[in-house]
Amino acid sequence: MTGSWDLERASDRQVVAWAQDGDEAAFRELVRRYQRPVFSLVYRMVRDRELAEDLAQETFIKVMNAIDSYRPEHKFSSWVFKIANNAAIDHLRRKDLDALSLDGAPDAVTAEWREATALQISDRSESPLEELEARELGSQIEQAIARLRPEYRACIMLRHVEGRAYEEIATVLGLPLGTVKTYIHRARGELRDYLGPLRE
Amino acid sequence: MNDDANLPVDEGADPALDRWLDGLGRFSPRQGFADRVVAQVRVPLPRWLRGLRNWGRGLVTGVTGWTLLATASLATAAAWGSMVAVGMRYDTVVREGVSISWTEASAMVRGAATDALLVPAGEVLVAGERWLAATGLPFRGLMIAYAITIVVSAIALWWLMAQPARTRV
Repeated sequence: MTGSWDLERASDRQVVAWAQDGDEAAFRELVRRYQRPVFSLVYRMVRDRELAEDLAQETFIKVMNAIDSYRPEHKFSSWVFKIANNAAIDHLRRKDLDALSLDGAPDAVTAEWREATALQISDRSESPLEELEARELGSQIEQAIARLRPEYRACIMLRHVEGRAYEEIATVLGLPLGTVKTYIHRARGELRDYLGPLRE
Repeated sequence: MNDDANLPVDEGADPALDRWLDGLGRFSPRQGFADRVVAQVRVPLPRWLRGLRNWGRGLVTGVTGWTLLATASLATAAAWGSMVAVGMRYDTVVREGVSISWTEASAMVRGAATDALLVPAGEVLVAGERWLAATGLPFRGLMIAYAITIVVSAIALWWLMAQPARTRV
């Protein structure tokens, strides 16, 4: 059994190997590492917090059930994002969606819960006024992103929130590299149009 | 669609947009998310145990309900055979607890079996008992090992045939 110190310092590849050997703590560590990236991606795709949490859970369950089929020559994060994106896309093909909330889980009953589930737009503000401005700006950006096609949205999220290379995004989404570049180019163009008033 | 891998990337052309997008944060699921996920999955068995399991599954590939029935019948017969053999071997011990001795009981059974034209079965049983006594093998140990094997086989059969557990509630 691995200690928590080892787990936190270990590479994804090592933690996955431990998980493949039946170490529950290793799997828990993988969930801990990827819960926010996966949840964020899915949430921005489906725009429903409860549903996003269900889909994120489904993602990790699929990951665990298929952990034996994971091949270390591929990046673990790409594999996880691919499963998460597929879960979100599958859902979007079946359902219509409602609006995105930036204020935490709609079913949050305590202040701590709402804070824990709210979008963390920025922690770089130095004053309450700046924080409020950042929050309003973030809200408008999120609304602009929500207007993008799901494929564009996934590309933008993987590129700008997760900082993935274009080639990795192409792998995650199962698209040609040129298509990814096209999607991001067009998404940025649409965002420029949507966010134009913010520049004034 | 005009998909071009050589399409120039326009990041950097609009610093304000880049700044906004790079400032996007991550959402957090509700507290206890990891606990809820882990509670819904079955962590895989160690590799060596999975290898053993897969090997066993390979053995029973194509098992049908009839095969299962036959296996269960054989196991039941073996279990009863074991109990009778043990009883016959240790009849002096068993006799103290019942009003009829095992020797007498087995004689009655053999008689009934004879009546039912099953004389060979009774003879084989007796011959088997004599043979075991002649070999000097640790009879009690053999019988215990035999019984354990039957129980373990039954459990293993059930385990091998079990569908992979589901994970979603």
